[in-house]
Amino acid sequence: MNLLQVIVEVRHSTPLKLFRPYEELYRSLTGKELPEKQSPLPGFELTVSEKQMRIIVDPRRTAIALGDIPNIGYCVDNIMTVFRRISEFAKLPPLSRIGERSYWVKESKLDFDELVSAYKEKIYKPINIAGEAIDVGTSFILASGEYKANLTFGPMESPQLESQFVFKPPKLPEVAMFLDVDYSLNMEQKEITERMLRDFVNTGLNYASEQSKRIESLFKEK
Amino acid sequence: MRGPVLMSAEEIEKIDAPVVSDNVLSSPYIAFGLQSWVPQSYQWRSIEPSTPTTFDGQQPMLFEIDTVDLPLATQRWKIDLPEHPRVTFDDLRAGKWPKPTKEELEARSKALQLGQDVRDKLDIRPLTTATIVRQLREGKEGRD
Repeated sequence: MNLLQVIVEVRHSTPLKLFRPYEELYRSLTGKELPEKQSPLPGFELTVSEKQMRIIVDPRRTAIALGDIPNIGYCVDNIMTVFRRISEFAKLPPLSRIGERSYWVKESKLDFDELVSAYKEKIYKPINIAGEAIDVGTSFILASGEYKANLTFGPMESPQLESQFVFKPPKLPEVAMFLDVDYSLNMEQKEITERMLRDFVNTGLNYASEQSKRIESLFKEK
Repeated sequence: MRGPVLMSAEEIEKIDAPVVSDNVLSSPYIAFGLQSWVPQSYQWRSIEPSTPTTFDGQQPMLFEIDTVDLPLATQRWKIDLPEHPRVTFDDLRAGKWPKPTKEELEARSKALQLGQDVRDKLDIRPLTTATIVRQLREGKEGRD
């Protein structure tokens, strides 16, 4: 399957200081906490159109969405460079969650109804409801060591497929198998390091790639 | 299939459950939104309590530029293999190692042959547990 979108998100356990300047200023001047909590400043979103990249830094999360992924190495490089630049500017607080979501697409030679039938045949027992279904989608949560992966997959037609992407891919198939892999880890106050992030992004994409191959082989068209 | 929805928990909490009257029951009841009673997975959100990986910011300030210079490892590392001039850093990183050339295969074969000759001349054989036990019993040292 082809990798068409990746989102990497680190969720902060406490809001980024960058978005609470008055609380910080008050504390540094008085040594005390602000008596009333201030609403944090709005988040920041930067779209880099040529690179099909969107960078989001808000009080609770830092995330990068990539729509142009020639290979996994390119994806890891870009994500690491952006995170490095952000953390050089503002120290990222300890993490509460780290997640990597990738969308995979494989063109199908079958028409949509035939592909739905193929899914039903492979995934479901022939019960009455499954037999009557005109569209299907499946979701599984898998464990990979301490990580969890939420796999969602099913057949899609191009209009629906288009709506999934932050940046519309130049060419989408009329009918396709779609896979969404959300690889994540919840944690308590874990410090983020470059090594940890790089390993996570790499491992997550390789894991998702393996899952995409498994699903693809399941629906191998004769 | 129903597409995944990139929806944050905050957004879901904002969905109001409207109060409507029910003439049949003669009492008002709460018409729950879909999220309230169907399994969470219905919305293609994780069944876990945490929200899925998303990039949804909360009313962020939006900026857009054409491009930005982000140096990639491909630019930092240059591969120079005279025998394989076409091999790039990306190839090696993706695990696509070049096939050995004819010269490399010959050199490898020579090295293997040399290793075999040395082994034969020195009569090198693996020292197994059975051999050691036998030698200890017989009071012999060295290989038999």
